[in-house]
Amino acid sequence: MSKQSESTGTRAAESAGARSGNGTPIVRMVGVTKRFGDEIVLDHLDLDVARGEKVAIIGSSGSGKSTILRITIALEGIDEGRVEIDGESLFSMSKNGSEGAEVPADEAHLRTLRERVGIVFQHFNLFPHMTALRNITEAPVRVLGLSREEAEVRARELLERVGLAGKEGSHPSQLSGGQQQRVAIARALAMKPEIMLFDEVTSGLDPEWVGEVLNVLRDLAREESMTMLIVTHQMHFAEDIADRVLFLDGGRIVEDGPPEQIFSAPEEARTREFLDTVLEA
Amino acid sequence: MAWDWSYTWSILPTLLKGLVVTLEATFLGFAFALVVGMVWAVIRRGAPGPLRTAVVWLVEFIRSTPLLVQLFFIYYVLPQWGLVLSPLVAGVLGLGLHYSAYTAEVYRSGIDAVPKGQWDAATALGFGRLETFWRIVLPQAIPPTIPALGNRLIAIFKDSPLLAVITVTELLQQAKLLGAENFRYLEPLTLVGVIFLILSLISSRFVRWMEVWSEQAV
Repeated sequence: MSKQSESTGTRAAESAGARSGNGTPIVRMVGVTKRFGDEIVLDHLDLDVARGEKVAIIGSSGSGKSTILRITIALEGIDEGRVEIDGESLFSMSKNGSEGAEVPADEAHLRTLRERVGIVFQHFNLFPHMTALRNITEAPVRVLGLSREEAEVRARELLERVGLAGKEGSHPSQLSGGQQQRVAIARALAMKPEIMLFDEVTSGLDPEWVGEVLNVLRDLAREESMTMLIVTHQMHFAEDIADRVLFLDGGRIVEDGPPEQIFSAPEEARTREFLDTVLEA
Repeated sequence: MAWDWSYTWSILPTLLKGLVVTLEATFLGFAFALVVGMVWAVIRRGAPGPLRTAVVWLVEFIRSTPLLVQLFFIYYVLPQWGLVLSPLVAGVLGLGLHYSAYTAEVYRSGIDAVPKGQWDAATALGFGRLETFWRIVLPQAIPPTIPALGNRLIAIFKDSPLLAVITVTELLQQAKLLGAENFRYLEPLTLVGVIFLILSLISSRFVRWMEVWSEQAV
């Protein structure tokens, strides 16, 4: 890693310490660069998220918002930089326990860290061949090793929590978009993640279903310990639930601050332009 | 030359014995093709480079050479290398291997049709690649391919008379033997055609029914 990115890392660490008051950031990105072919999606991005923080990520499409989430759960790798989950490097690991020497992370390492992160996708990605209940219990049973009974108890609680008690036996094709997305949220929560990622979870929905999904998210945001990274086009919602808003443009964080500041008095011209466009529409 | 009904009835039992062999070869060959085709599909999807390249070439080779040549090779050449197979086993192996190249292609299209989001979701939930493949992707990939696989089964059935050339006494071979014995080929060979026609029609119907069923199932 270059000298430059090390110093950026230190600066990011200080600012995170100042924000959260204690401890290691739950998500840390230092000098993260991601390319798809010739296109630079993330450009030396630094980001620290404190445990329990609710961070809304806004920006025009193609600004790299979703890529940040996909990297956090290692669905995408990175080309440069470093990502840490609660202080532990995601894409590299120490070789045979020896200090210092790091090798690229293997599948087992990724799986261990992924267990602490959950994601909800724009297009739900529910398993169509399974009932709602099975969608939720499959991973706790197969990955966490819960008994089917335990997993089902947990799943029923979660379905109730997202307002879908009684839909246990429905297949995704029998549910509305809003209901499918709420099952997807329950499915992610069943793994008891510390970090929840929401990738434009209302963008694939008919307007009539947006409210019920946002209500579930609002409810989740009340949980203090849950860290949430929310990529969204719903500005009022972001303003409402986020502790902190990031405005992304061209693979960089252009502005980073509390929602009051970003939405009422943005410092950057690009943030203002973006907000003018989306709030008009 | 007039049609001889009493001769027809007298040869029918022997022909049906041949039909049993034909059906054996067809279904065993199909089962072999289903399993081996899946092996090819899995290797092409997930195995490291050299192995994958080898399988891609092998499948291409199997598809580009005639089944008849493959059958001759298995039955007449392999024994020279110490692998002696009975005619039926050689025939099943030949049919199965040949059609595994086609079932592999059917599986591949089914697997590719499963949206990438399914892999993402399963991976994010902590499933490994193999688990994702077996538990999440395959159960979605297979049902839509059932009609195409059914058509392969019919194709194997219609190719099975080729086994006559490696002395399997299936339907056609049996008819030829009967004809040679009695110096009358009209009735046995006509019956062979009729039997194939009837069974093909029935199985096409069945495949069409499966098509409707698999569309409803998804």
